[in-house]
Amino acid sequence: MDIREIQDLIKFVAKSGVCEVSLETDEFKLTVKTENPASKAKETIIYQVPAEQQVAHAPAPVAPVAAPAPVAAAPVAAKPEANPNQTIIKSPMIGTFYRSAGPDKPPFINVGDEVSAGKVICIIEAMKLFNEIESDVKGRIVKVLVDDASPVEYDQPLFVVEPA
Amino acid sequence: MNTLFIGRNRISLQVTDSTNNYALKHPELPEGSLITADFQTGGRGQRGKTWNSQAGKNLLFSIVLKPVFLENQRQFSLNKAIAWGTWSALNELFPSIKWAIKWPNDIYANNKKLAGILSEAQWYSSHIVSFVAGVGLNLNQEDFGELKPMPTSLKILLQTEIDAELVLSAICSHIESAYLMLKARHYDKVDQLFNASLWKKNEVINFIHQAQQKSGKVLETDRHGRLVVLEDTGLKYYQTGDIAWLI
Repeated sequence: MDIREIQDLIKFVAKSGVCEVSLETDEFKLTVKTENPASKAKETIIYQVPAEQQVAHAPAPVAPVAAPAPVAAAPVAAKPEANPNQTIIKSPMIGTFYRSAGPDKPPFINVGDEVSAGKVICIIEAMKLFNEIESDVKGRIVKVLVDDASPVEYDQPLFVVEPA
Repeated sequence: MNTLFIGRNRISLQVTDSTNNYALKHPELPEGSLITADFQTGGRGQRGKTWNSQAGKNLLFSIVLKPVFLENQRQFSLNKAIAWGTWSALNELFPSIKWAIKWPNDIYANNKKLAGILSEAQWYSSHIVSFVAGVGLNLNQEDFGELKPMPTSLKILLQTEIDAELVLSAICSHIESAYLMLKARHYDKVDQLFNASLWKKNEVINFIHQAQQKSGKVLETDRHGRLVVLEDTGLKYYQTGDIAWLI
């Protein structure tokens, strides 16, 4: 297991809402703990909404329109994410967000749908490279935070998922 | 095929909807897998656009890569490696033609489109797990109907029938070189190679940006793949959707 895998595991545990995960193989034993539900929830918020993103590019789920959210709206945007039972799927790049495979195709997922890890949930087009983004959590889509065909920034929250 | 891994696993299809779709539907394909087709029933260009090609006349293929080593926000380097590899192979095989990469990912021969590239990546947990590069190259097709702007083919330019395997093998080999540079983290080298073959480099172009006609000198593309243009007001960085070329 390398550093990146360990980092991914820590992130996964932080997001998943569980308090402790132990992993044991022939070679090593690893335990990842989060302190208590209250502090964990706090950590999650910080991780999910980096400070610079609040200023420049926070989306406003309260009013999901194409116009950029005013700076003051950022704390409001963070509120729905405070639920420790929910996790956020974020954009791994700058690009254009698409909810379907093509203009005449149905959305990959809708609010209320169940998703499994590995299911394609959106496409982000960046410089004519089409990126299929797969869910890394199993759960139910609670909210879609970005409108179809709108620009997204690196690390911008896209979906709120309630892990199963 | 004179390569280390690209094309070692070869799947030759007579007919398929698109070689990219085939690759995306078969995640078990190992890195370097090459899928070729004589004919595509659902060939795709950019979002919602189609890519039409006469049966057996052209080169249609996809290459599967697993660039799990790629650093954050370096995904456009893959496009650059594929485009430059294609350009470089053609430039070496057919030096009498003037080759260029039209930003972001078309290959131009004597100022006309000869090949197009459509790449698709699959992401999981903020990392690329699989990358499929699809290339459509006009080889021996001579009639393109009413297509505008009119593309071209090797047959039209060279007035002779071209061996598909020769071109395919060279492209795979050159793409592999560029990909290995990325794997060795020589991102800047791939940037330089791509920029050196950029169409209209150091020339003034006219284009439309936000419903206004503008002009500026094409300098290069940056690490995110944005086109860097020098205008009267200074340097501007454009994404692909931002501008429409006036050619």
